[in-house]
Amino acid sequence: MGAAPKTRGGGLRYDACVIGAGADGLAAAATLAKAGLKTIVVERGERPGGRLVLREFHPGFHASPFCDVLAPIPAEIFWSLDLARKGVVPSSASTSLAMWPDRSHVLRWPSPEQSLLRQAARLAEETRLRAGRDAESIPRRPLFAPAPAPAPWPGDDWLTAALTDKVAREVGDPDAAAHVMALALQGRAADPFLRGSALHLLAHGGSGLVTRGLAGALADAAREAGAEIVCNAEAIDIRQARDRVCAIGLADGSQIETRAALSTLDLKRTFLSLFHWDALPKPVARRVAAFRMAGSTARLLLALDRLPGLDAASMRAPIHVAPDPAVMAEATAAWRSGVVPQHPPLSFRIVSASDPGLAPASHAVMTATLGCIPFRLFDGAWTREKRDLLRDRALAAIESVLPGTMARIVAAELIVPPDIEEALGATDGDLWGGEIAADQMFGFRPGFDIAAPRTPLAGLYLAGPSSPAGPLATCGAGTIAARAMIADLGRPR
Amino acid sequence: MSGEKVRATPFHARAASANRDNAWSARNGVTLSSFYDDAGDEALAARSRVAIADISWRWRAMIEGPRAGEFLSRLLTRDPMKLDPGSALKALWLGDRGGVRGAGAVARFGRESFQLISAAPDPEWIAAAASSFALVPRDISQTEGGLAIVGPYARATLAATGLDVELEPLTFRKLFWRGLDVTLSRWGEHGGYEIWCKPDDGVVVWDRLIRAGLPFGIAPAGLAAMDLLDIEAGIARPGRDYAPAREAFAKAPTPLALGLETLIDDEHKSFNGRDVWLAARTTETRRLAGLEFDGDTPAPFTPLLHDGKAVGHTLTSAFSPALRRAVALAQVDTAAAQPGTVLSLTLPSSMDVPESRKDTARVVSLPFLPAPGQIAP
Amino acid sequence: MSARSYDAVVIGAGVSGLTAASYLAKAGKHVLVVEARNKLGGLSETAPLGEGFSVPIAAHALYALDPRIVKELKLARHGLKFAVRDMALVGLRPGGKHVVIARDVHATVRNIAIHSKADAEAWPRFRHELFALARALRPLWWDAAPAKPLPQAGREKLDRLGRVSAAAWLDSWFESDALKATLAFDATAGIQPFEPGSALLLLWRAAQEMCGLQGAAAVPFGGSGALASSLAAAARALGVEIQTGANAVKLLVQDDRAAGIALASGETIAAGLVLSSLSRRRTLCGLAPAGAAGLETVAALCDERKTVGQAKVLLTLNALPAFNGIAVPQDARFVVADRLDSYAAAGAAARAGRLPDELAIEFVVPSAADRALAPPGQHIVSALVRPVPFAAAAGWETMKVQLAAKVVAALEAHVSGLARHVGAAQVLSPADIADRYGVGDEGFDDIHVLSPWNSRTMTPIPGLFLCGAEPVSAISGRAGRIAAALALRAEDRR
Repeated sequence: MGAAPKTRGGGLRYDACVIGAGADGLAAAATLAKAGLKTIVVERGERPGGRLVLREFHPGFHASPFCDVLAPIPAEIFWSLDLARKGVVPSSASTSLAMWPDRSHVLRWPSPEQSLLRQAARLAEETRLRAGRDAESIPRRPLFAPAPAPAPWPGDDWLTAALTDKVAREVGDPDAAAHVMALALQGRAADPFLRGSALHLLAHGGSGLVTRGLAGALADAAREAGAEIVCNAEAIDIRQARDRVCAIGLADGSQIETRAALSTLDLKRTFLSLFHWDALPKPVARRVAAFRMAGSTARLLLALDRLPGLDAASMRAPIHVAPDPAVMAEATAAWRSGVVPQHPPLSFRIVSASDPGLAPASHAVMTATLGCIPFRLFDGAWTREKRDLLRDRALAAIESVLPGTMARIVAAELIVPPDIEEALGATDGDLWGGEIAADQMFGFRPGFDIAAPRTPLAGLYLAGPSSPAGPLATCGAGTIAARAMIADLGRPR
Repeated sequence: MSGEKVRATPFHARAASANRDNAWSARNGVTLSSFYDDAGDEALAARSRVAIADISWRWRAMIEGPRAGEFLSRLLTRDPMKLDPGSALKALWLGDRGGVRGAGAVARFGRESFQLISAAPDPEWIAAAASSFALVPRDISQTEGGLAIVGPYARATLAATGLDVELEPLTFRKLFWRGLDVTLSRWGEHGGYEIWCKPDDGVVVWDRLIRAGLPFGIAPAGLAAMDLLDIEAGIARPGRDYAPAREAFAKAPTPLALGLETLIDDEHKSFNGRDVWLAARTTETRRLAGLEFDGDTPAPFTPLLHDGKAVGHTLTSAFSPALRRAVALAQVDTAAAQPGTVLSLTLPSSMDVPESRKDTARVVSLPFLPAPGQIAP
Repeated sequence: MSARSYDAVVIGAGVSGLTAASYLAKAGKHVLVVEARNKLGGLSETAPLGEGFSVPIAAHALYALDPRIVKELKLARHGLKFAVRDMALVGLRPGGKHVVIARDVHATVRNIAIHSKADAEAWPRFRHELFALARALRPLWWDAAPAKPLPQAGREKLDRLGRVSAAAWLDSWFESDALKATLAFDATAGIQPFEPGSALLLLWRAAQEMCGLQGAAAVPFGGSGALASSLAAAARALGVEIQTGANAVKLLVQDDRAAGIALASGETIAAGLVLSSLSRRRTLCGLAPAGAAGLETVAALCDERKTVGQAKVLLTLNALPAFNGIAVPQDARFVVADRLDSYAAAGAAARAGRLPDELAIEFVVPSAADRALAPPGQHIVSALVRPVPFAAAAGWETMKVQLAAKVVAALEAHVSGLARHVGAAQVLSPADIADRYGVGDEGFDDIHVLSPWNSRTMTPIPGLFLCGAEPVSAISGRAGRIAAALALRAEDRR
């Protein structure tokens, strides 16, 4: 062994080290720093923001490579981080469009179909609050002591409901029903007829737009509160001393000494890349291995030289192409077998209509989100040909409802699950940190004996998409974890 | 394109020209005047003279067929089979677990023909329930316009138009009125009458009534005034004053908590949710109470405190010019619902008065004011 | 019209109805059982097919018959004897390397090792945990109200298992498709192996006991029809009256309580206790007065349309060739299913109204152990296929021919030459089964595997009970036994 690893911070010990400067990480850092804890955030990428970061995929054209929409930011976090003054406008969904070659359907807020989505949003909010309460009320217990009998979670009766049944009860018109289902399953792979698929309505991708300023505003909030953010610093190792977290090892060989660490990476990434497999306690290793994660999202970024011919309201709306639950079911079956579906569920959006700065004048940026795209194909890797095939299928689908689009394309970039894994560090390209299934939601997400954000390893906390509030709210899981850490760590020394 | 469209009622043309401030609201998918000139004056007119109000927004469905009576008997908390054709009764309908889903009236048009009227529509649930009886309810809300004529001089006004008809409360009659087919009814709570006509005849009906009522000081009354009359009469309406049980198998709100237990007939042995109602009677801890505020500011859906403890919340609230103070209907724990109890609340802040202020309210027995010239049902 | 009066009337003389009636009679009640058909037995019916053959129309193996019923009603004395006591589970695989899961753990391990060493190593642990968990959960399923609540750790495990899909659970134990697909067939009863709660079906199955053996499947001499006759004999010995050709069409209600039934003939039977072995839907939507069970409940029940069901294919063979590949016992329970994914694809196809390309089949050869079912040297095959569409887009009559052909082809792949020996074939679609027996048309959620017996057996109408409400659709009688107990208890309380 050579010299002792260089320690950052000039030998100072941090109270909390947050791994990952995405929405959860930055919100957690802001909360921790405001409580007076010495906080540092380490981020692998060049800039903070995670999936909030926009990329210039063609000169002059910007778009988010991963998602257009986020789960809503809870109101109290929005105000406590003072995001409004930093220029973030809480966008509320006003219209959603479903288009077939011969007809279309509009969902407007408020409307009868919306009662179901509002119900789902209310349940998601209650679940998030419940996760927060659980995190704050669970006292520290010895490892693997049995948890107290859990009270039922607000969304429990959605666990075994099929999406088609839930929607059919409230929405009579088949087009409207298909539209609502497409909204819930955007980017995902799930058979809406199977029981348990109604969970996707509770934990759907969201409707709040990823605005350009959000990443910057969150980073500013964290810095203003006193947290340090270090980019181009990849955490590769969590070091323990006397069975407690004591330091985070970075890729460049240095380490950050800290009393506690918060990982906003997904479950598998946290435990499999930051620990040695043998060093994990058996129950933890087993749970991590059994936690199912599978990427299903592909993104297509298009630069157009002219605005498509849509009316003003539709320009800013997400447009779901020919939604059909039977097609979704078949696409899911194909995805399960590692086959790219013939008709992957697809939604697109002209993001530059909501934020004109994303494209040069009189040009447009269109992004498309595809679901049921496997991470691993049954016949090998994602070659150039397979990517082009998928891209052409997606473009044909868009062309079928918006003729003339293909002629306007200046540049196109396809991002498939392996690319997402590489860029975001999301295992298997799973943007939601784990299958949205009955045995992996609410109290069972991720399902340690002690509920997240605490893990069975003292000093290690988990936020991010693999925690109960992860798929339900943006910044929610990070804030819950931060509060738990503050409660556990007490006042700073 | 789908999505709820807002329609005009058959009286819209006249309402628009009378609506001085262009103040409109939407209710149940139709556009109605919130007020024409001043809501307080309109309410006073309805109480002391005569007023007409557009009630085309009420949801109406025809239930016709061999098992219509059987179905409605199981649906409603009072038995419509006892009705003679031409009369009506007021009742509730409850969900399977006892939550109040709807309140309204049912009118018998014939042996196998009934009309259900309510402030809040519940078409899908009623259609699903009716399907077990091989019935398909027919929504006729858009096939007729309705005008209410309210006030002590309502009868006189109608007589002056040529509709000199002796009509008992809760009855109705189809009439041929100087060339028009109309139905005249007395289903409302305010002692007045209602005229139902074909959409095309709306303007004519309106003009006839206004002309005939001029000597009595007739005025059109908007939604605000009519809602105020409802509050002063102590009637909570579904959709406006409380959220009816809309989720499947909901238990709340119970009839007792809304002061609607008078609409349940103890002799009616089998109606939906009866067993739960009987059990809830003993376990319901809240009652509907009327509150008179000390100040002028209404406070809807505001929590109420008694001795520092939360005891309930207001439902709907408005300023009553007749009482010259703000009033509210509220759901309050039984112990705190005795007339004379003083409750405190924090008034909601507004643009004009941003800081929050406290107010006190006294529980009074309902109704706040007796209906103008009304006979109790 | 004549009106007769009893203490209790039971609708349906199947296993559930006869069991319920027997226990009510044992408690001293005067009981009448009415059966619409001219034959007793319900789902446990053995009927002739062609010359000299008897086939099990619906249930072809028993795995959930409550041993307490066998003992307390002395069914052995009334003629119930078993031809096969402990059927092995055989997954027929292409290439002849079949999966054979028998009670002998070592033999099973050796067999699984052909497919995967890791799976073979995991098998004993899996089996142990499955059987232990199942035994721990037995009180939940075997008793109306378990005397002891489950321990904390058990409740958590149960909570989690209640949410896990069979596919995810099997994936967490094993890697080979051969083993997983074979085991998953049992998790397709009314549910799909990818749906939450399907893992419980495997547990439920393992919690049963036949002939003293946990998780066993058995075939009685004379087919499942013999079970019906022994039960009928036991019932009659206890004083139960059984009337066939009596179709109950209406439930009579007085003062909001059940008061008896009316038959199609116009007769009325007065009884303070009415037990129905028909499905919840047929009872509350068809028999009970409209809306009497709650308008929302009835509307929801009546609205349900089953899209997916199971079909039976019955074949007579004038000879049974040997099975290809490794030796397998002929009296086993055979499963033909390719991969876990095929169940998902089959489900999607069935929902769309089409026969799946790859069928999932369970079949038995009852004549292998019970020679009396067929002439000497000849055999019958009873095949259960699920999922299949409940209502076919093109109509079931054409689909029956296709289904029979597909089943024969699937069997031919493992038993070369079988197709030549097929004599008669009979196919029953899901609707046929539902119409014939009055069950099988309700959704799965109604009878969730973990819901307490009260919620399954009692109805919103006092005095009316469901005696056929098993958590999993299977011949068991347990629901009848428990319904009788709950009915007696409710009566005592009055």
